[in-house]
Amino acid sequence: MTRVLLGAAALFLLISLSFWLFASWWWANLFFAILIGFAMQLGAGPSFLAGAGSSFLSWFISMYWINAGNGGLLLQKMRAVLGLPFGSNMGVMLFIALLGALLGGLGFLLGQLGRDIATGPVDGRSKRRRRGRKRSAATFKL
Amino acid sequence: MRILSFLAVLVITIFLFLFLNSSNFASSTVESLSGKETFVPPMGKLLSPSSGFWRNAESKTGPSLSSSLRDGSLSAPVELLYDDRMVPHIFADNMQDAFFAQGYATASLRLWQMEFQTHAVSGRLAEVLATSEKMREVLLKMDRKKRKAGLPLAAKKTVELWKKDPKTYEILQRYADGVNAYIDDLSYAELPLEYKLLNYRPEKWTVLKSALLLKAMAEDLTDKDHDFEMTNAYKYFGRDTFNLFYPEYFPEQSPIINDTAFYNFKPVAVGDSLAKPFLGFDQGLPKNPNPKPKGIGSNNWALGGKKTASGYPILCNDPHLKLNLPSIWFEAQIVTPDFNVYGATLPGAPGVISGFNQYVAWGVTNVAHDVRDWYAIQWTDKTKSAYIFDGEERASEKILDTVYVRGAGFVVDTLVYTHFGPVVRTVNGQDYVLHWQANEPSSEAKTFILLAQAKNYQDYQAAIKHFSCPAQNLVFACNNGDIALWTQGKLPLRRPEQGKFVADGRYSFNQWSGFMPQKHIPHEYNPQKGYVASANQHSVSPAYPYYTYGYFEEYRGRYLNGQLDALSAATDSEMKALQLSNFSQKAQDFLPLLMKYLQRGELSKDELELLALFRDWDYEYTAEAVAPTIFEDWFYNLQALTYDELEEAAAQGMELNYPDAWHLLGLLKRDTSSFIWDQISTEKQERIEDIVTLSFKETLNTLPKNKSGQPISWGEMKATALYHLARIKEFSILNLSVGGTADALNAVSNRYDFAASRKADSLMHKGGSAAGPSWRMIVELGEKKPKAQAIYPGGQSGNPGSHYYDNMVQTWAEGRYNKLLYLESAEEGKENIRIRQRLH
Repeated sequence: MTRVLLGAAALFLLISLSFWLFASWWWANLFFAILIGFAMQLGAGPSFLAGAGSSFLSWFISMYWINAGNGGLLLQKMRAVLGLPFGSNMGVMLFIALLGALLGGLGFLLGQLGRDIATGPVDGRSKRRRRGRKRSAATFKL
Repeated sequence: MRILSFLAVLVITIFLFLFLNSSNFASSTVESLSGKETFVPPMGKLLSPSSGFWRNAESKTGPSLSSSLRDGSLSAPVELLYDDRMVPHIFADNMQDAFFAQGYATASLRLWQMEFQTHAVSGRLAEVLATSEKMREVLLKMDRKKRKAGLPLAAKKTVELWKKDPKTYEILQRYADGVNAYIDDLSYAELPLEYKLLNYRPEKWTVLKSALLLKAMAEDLTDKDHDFEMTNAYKYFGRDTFNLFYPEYFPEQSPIINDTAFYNFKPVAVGDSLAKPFLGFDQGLPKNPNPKPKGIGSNNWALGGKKTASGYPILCNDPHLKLNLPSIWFEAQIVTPDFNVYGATLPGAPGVISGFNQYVAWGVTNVAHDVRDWYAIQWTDKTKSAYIFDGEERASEKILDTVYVRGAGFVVDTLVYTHFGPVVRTVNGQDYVLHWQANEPSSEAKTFILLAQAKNYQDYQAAIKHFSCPAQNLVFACNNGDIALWTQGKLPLRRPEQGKFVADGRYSFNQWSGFMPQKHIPHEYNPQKGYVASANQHSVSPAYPYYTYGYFEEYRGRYLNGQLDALSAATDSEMKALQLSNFSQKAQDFLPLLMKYLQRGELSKDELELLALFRDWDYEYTAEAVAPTIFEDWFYNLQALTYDELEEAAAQGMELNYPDAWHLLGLLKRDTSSFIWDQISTEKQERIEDIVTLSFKETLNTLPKNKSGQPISWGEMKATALYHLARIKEFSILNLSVGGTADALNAVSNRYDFAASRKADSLMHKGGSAAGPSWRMIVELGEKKPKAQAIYPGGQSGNPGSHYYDNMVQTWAEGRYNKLLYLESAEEGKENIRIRQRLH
């Protein structure tokens, strides 16, 4: 659990930092998610959730902050321009943040699975599964 | 299994990536360019909080502009201060640096507009807007039409002309350098919102783009002509009846230059035989497809010191143009050791169009002389390589023109030019070429650069002589007490009625005979009456030695001259009242006469109740009033019934125009037994009383009404709209309730579509923006420092996400003005300065 939170926090910090460093935040989001996913070794489920959660938070907080600063004037206009089916600015922000979450989640997962392929699964769940498979094979032999 | 999982997630991720790069789950809409069309920006980039549209959202403190710019081409540091309305105040050590900074400041706030306008005039809209099959078709047609009419080529020739004047060219180049200094620094995140929405990037700014913008202005103000309709009318009616329907002079007119002593000069010989129309066609010619909205026009006047309370001249100007967002104007002050100029600038061109400096003030209205003529061309063969002119063959010039259409590649067109101009229209196999003064190279930019530096009447004269098209009534006032007005431009010399009809291009006697010499151009300098004024009316009376023909507005000018005659000890408040006047001279002329002929005994109870709504009406077109709604609807019905001969002609394929409204006034006043009053379709011999009464009865049915059956207010009927340039509805202001009408000094046009509303039996409006006072300015000159007030319906920023995009619209609608911050040094007025930039 600590590792999951640590990964999520790292991703949150990195993509928030990338707000200032990169022109394309979503690209940065995916890139960092893969990187951390590769490094952290959390397991598929926790990876996805950690990536999605931290990305969601990062995107949502940033949009909320920008929107509050200018009174939501532009977002209100853009909602109509883009034909987005949401009745409020909050709806649009949640929708965009979910897109970000999807990117983050997939990125983490991709990193994690990549790591699995490169080094073999070493996290607890996978070990258990592997041990289980071995036991079954032995029983069959017997 | 692990590899399969990895691949599955990878595929999903790639799919999401592609989806965000060219997403189509949402779409932006552009209205009216081709009906309602959608285009799809790449959503990933657009929605990204770090670089997408979020970065265009501004707080009330304004845009985040960098505090300094380093540019090696500047000869000395320039201070660029933005005040609390985001008006840039430029302080430079020399003119070259000052205009560099003007380009930089304008681009900082209006870059997309600047470039989009040049795309429009150069026929390049398909390049940026064509994002669907239907839009490709519509925009390609629009672009080809623009290119055929010749302005892109005219702009290129204009740049060649400017190059021959190195001083002016240097200024234009420095302006372009300033714009490019801004463009060069732009990241995707900093791009104006429209670039992100339409997914393209700005090009480098060039002097050619400034030329294109000035040509766009010439197009806007001179592309009106009725030559085809008039030729139809001549062919249909014959000479005598034609003259009855389309007289040239309004007997009650109040021309701009009415001092007949000025007319006492020997004119250049032009000939006085009547021009003959080209009649070699069987079916009627199609109408002008681009009728200008009523309300395009302007007012300006200057009062001499004897008429003002301060003893110094006051100059007022309100050009009436399309009220788009971002506004056509951009306010700026430019200060160098040699001049200190403030006023309305055209985003994309250096200098000030309507403004003032320490010594003088100037303003513009459209002269409205006809400078567009059509000629029927006889080719020697189908290749169109040569045509007949004065019995001889003349070679045409063919130019291959390439139009780029977004997503569809290149389309190659052949443009054919004769010595008159380009082939623009083909009707039933007959080619018609256009001779248009806007297609000639010209030096208007120089006029505004020189006016910024003018100190007196002589400087003003030296500046305006470079101005050729669109001809402008250039009003002038100086703090030494001088006032003047010149109807400045290249005004063609023509024989009587030349230019009114399509002419036969085979003969040289149908060509223009040159241009009015500068000294013969109608003008006034310190006239006895104590003021000079113009409101797009006829420049001169019929006694003027040259034949003049155009598209004049005869109501505003009459009212304005009458009001100025009566003024004394004038202050800014009287000037404001005039600029904001909703009084209609037309209604005052017509209504008493209509009442005289209306047969009340034939009216029903409901019709009498409707008539009662005119009681106590003061002819003011305020937004709340209903009398203007009734009057305008009645007037439309009256015209339709009176000129039923035109409907008859249209049924035979001859599309004609209604005569000017003042023609109907003449019939009501002086020709009450004319055959025109009779309805062709009935056996009965109708009289004036019948037509006036019948048209009023019709009004009860045709009048736009609210849900409770009452006539809607004038503001609701005309539904003033300020559309975004790309017609993005959400960036537009629709249904603004303001007063005014095309023939009032507050000439806000009526968007109500009478014909469509009748057909649909519901409230229908014409597409696009209203036209009206696009910049109201009042300058009171003084010994040292002028005092000025102004307003325009828009804001300094072109960014729809900025508070400064439309922050002045409500102020404008309420008839209020901003006091202009005319600084003498960069240290002055610190409390009003929001942003300081240093260019070095």
